[in-house]
Amino acid sequence: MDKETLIYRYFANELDKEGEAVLNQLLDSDTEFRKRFEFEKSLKKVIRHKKGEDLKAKLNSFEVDIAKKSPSSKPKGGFRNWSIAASIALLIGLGWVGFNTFLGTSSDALYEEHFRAYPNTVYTITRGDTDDSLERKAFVAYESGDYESAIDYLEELKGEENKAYIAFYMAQSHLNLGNTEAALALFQQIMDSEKEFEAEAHWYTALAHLKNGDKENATRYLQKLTAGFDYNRERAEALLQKID
Amino acid sequence: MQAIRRTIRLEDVRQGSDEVLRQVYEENRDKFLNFARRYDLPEEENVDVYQDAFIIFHDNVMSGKLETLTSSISTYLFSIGKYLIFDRMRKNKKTVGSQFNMDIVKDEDHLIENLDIEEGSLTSEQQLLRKHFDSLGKKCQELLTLFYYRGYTIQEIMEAEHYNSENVVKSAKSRCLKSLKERIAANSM
Repeated sequence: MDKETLIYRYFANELDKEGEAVLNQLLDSDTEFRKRFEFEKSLKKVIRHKKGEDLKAKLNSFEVDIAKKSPSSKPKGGFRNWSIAASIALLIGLGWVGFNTFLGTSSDALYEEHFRAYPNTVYTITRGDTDDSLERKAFVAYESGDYESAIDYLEELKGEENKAYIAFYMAQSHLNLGNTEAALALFQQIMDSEKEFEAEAHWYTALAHLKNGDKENATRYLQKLTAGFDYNRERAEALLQKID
Repeated sequence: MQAIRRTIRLEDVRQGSDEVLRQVYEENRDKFLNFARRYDLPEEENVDVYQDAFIIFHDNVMSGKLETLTSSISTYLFSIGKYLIFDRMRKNKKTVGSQFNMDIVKDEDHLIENLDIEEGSLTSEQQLLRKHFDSLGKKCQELLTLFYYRGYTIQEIMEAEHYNSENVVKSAKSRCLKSLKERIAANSM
């Protein structure tokens, strides 16, 4: 293999082990070759750098759009933050519409498509946090996807104080573990209490019924949601059409 | 279904539409930020790390280093992100505390073994190279980008850019490199 081909194959990601050995040998012994190779390698790095900068600018513009959709960036935004997450999820969901019409949809597939674990909007886990509270432990577990531990901590927390979010995140954890019945019972409590997370509970109740293959009840709760709340309205309407 | 979805996605990323980029970026953002919070970096740095991980992932897709996904995109982002986070921690001279779960993506580390991750800033010579690369004609910039960044073969460049033969591509490439070297030499004199 001549020098030209060696360099060419290197940059085309086509150099085999044998070629690599020859290349390394030449780099050690041939200064002129080395200089040329280093120049082209630098060029590669420079172009990559340039592309990285272009992309970084683009990503920053995405961030600006995300921030615009969220005037308050504090995680305690509760409903508002979730509505942003929901609109993002909607965008993603829309991309799926074509795909699914094409494939046909089972209720389980609809569930998989629409279910997104509700984000932690209650407790901010930050750096150097010395707080060792049950609340923190619960949400650390929740965020890491350790739903069993999350349920344990939330259960314990419930003994200390009864906040609306506890039942909601317990239900979420159960849903993530596939315990739809336990989740449904908790969502029912939330809907009955008519407090925080009531709208969300309707949405997730509908999804849990979908997971159970119960399209009738799923439809019922989606209709309740669209009739009574603004939360996830568009997604619910889209989902209702698909269930039909 | 999953496999079809993944293949489509990677190919879509390669096509380079902003819409696809935005979708992949937004889709994985929250997941990544939640993941990054496990480590001891200031919250505002997490978005930065996410962007850097995203750029590295994107680079490797574009360069053909990453041809097929053997795991979800988010898993790749996590693996790259973990690497970047530890790198930053090392640079900040922070030790990684035992409460941080180091094993969380350990199993996926092989995923990024063959990827180009090193970033590094440009040396002064490379900055000069960058300046003169920018001053090249558009055609040259495109050709060199396809070859060095996208890892295209001469034949692929010929087809993509409608050159008449491989030899035309080869000589065009040599001319572009020569011109670049001349500009740099003129500048350093």
